[in-house]
Amino acid sequence: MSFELNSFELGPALLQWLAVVAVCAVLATIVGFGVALLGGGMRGVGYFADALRRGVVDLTRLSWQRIAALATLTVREAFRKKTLYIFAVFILLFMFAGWFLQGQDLDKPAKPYVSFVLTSVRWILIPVAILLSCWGLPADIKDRSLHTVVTKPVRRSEIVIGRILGYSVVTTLVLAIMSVVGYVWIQRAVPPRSQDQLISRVPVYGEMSILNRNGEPGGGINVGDIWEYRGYIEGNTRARGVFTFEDVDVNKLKASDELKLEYKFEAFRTHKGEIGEGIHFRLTLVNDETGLRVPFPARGDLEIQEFAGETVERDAKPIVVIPRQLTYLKAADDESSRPEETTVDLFDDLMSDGNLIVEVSCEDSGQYLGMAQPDLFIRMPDHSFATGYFKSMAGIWLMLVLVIMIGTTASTFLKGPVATLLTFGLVVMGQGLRVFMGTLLEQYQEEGQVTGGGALESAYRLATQMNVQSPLPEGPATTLIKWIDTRVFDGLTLLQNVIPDFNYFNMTPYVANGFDVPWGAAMLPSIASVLAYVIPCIVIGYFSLQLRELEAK
Amino acid sequence: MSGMNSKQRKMVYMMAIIVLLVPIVWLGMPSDAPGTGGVIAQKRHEYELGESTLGDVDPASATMNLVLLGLRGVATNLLWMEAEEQKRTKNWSQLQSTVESIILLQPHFQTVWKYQAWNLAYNVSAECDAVEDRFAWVKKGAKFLIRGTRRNRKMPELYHDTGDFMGKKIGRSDEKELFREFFVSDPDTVRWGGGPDEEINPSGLDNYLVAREWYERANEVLEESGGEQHKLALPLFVGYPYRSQMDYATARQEEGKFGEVTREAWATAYREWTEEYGREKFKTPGGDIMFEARDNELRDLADQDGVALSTKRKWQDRYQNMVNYRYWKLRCEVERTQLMTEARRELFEGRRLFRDEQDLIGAKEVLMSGMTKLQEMIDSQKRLDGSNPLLDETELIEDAIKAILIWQHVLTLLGEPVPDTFPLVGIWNNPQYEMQRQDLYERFLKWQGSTAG
Repeated sequence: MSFELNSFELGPALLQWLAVVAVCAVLATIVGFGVALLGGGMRGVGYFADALRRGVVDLTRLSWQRIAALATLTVREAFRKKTLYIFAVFILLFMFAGWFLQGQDLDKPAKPYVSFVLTSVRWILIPVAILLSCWGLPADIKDRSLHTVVTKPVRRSEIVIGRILGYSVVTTLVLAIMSVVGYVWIQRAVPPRSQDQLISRVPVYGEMSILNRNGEPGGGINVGDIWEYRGYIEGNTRARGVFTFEDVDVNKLKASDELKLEYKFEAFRTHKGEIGEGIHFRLTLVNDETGLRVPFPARGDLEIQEFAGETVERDAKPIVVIPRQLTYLKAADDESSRPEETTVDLFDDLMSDGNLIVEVSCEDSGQYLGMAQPDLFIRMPDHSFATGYFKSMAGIWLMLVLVIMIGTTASTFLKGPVATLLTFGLVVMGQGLRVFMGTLLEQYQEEGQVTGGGALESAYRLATQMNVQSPLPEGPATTLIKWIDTRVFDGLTLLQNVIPDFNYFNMTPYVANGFDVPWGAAMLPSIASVLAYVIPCIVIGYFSLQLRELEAK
Repeated sequence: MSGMNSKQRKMVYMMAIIVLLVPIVWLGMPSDAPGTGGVIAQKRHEYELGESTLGDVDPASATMNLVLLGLRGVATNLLWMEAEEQKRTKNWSQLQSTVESIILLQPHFQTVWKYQAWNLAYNVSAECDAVEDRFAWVKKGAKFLIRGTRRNRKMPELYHDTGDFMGKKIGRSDEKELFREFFVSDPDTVRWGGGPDEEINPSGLDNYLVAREWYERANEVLEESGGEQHKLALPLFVGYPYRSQMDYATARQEEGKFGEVTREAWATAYREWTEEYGREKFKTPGGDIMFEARDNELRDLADQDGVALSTKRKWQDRYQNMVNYRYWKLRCEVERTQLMTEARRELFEGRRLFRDEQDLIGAKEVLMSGMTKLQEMIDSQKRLDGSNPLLDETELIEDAIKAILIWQHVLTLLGEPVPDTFPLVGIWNNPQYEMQRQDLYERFLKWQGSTAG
């Protein structure tokens, strides 16, 4: 397992959000104004202004008491609709999970068990959240119970918020119970030999650069791996992987008087070498400010423990424990003198300012060591498995809240089935197609076109069995196809900012691989994503409900 | 219908349901013994299509296929794509889980078992740096395939492939020394306490003997299922248990085990090759043949099939060539003798004394004795027309040249001249082996400087 280290900057994200919301608001106002003008002339404009004024009042003067009452009603209604029956599916799934996970396999790592629980909880609750939120309001409109509600002194914005809160409370309750059941199941189902994989490691990642065989900056070598994730350094040359760690909390490390470095390097052999012996590597700890360089280990080298954790048959730990007091042979200033044994303090001499550079070299001639940025990290004191697990559940909860917000909003202007389709479509796009969309648009923005063209051009190429490299024949049809495709891409570029990125909420890879869920790369963007949709969803929901003919069946 | 009220309509529906249920129940009645039950059950039995006749029934697999309704194909494709992605991103444990899911959906698709077992045992295994890890993945692949044989008792190829894993993958990889050792003494001592992994080697046998058992089972299944296999030409397929016995004996020799067990292994191989395999009848375009048929038997077969004796001989010869029958017969015949065993033991010991002990005088004497015995063995096989089938045996020639190279080098180190005549000099001076000699000389120079080779 490997991580692409996500970086999420709150400031730029906030600015982008403001820009998108402003653009959407302006567009909606213009469209609304236009429709009002065309529909009712000057009287329509009056209605439009009135609706806006009422909107501002309804959205700003909210009664939390009324919202709570509406939310309570929503919760009761959900229970009446036997939402909790979903537990039966969940319990059934867990009763027979052993069948699908080959439970008798004592050599299975913990990863598949954790993945199974988190994935099944997510995929059981997404439909529940979608169906609850998308069918509630349309059903009320259909059986006219909403008509009764709106005649009471209650604002329509409060109905939307009450619904969202009510459904959120229901799913929170269901999720809470599922989380606990899932947690107990994992503890019981994971084979004893893999129990130690149930932890939440806390990594501190650094920046990585690679020096080539001459010791000059350059990328790693590609050894022919189709997965270009790792760069490789050549053994017994001046090639190095340089990891720069900044602002490490040294005080936390001082408690254990040691520094734990965990690695996930990959070995690549160009010759068999010593069969039965792993590729060797060494570390050099560098204080960039003082220029102090301490090799580790002082004598000999370390043997790579490749893919440790992927099997449990071999008790291999890819961890290098560096003691606080480091003794090494320091080269004398005078070349004729012998090197002298020197002891340095890891934290005071090498990491005095919380920064540390670790250089990795491969020691075997003709062999290579592959590395990527997340392949070497400082392992801070571990957290319990429960920490990572429940954080991951919190991620699922945030995602469900977002789904409920979108579903409820959609149900204010669409009928149940259509709202369900829309919400489900957004979830699928936000989860599965977002990366694909990002790749396409990145190419479109950089090169002005996409290999193989857009939807129409691709269809043309498919039908005529034309490869993606050959140019389309010149003519008005081609011009038209390209024009339409370009407009679609432009539309997609705008849409990209509106479709939520559901990938942030998937924190399963962290927990399944024994990592704590990081705040900056997972929790913060998840919370920000949900918050970003709160105001737009309430505003859209409110106006849609206000303008909707509630008496219509 | 329009004139009926709701209750009447429901009654009509109910009647229609009951009427339709009768043929369904009648056709689909379950069987409690072969040949009983409804038409569907009888047909299932007749064409051997029932889950239980194909192999062990896996409730999870059946449930999955049922739950997915018609979406099995879609789910399978998604899982295959996921498996490929996990392989690409080296996410091995998840790959293993995905493969398990695929197999739940396609339990009787032979290629899936083969492809994914190979994936685990060959591709994933090769990615790992530690030999213990490589072995663990080979075992996972083998166990996967063993499960495949249990789910599909009528696919001889799966049994045969399991034999290949146990034999060739364990016994011929670069890591064969360690793999063969691990096969009887698993590195996972926590679970197996220093013994073999009982899931693949319950009796703690040599890997080639376990492979032999699997090949034998493949032959049995082949016979039971009416001779359907699409892997190899039938004589080659059927010959694998016997070849595995030879591999076992060869591996022991390569490891320096020259005792009675090894000689007996060759004797068994010879007996089985000539008396069991050699006596099997194989169909050829020229009718039935036996590799070990005597003249009168061959004549009888020719009469029986209405072909000329010469035609029969031609096809016998062709098929013998296909499986290299005569070579292996000769090899077993020679290797089972005390003289050859001694020759091999001494040549091996000479190499060891030279290389590991640096005992030049000891090496010189033992090598000379081994070379003499090898020469004696070669001479014993000389035919009346002057030809010698042993001189066509590449491996034997290679062993002879290697021994001479080391012996000559030892003499040089001892400061002694290389005499003009010495045992095996005929091979040394034979221009036919010049290329081989050159190649081995270069390898010898490397061998001296490193452990490889």
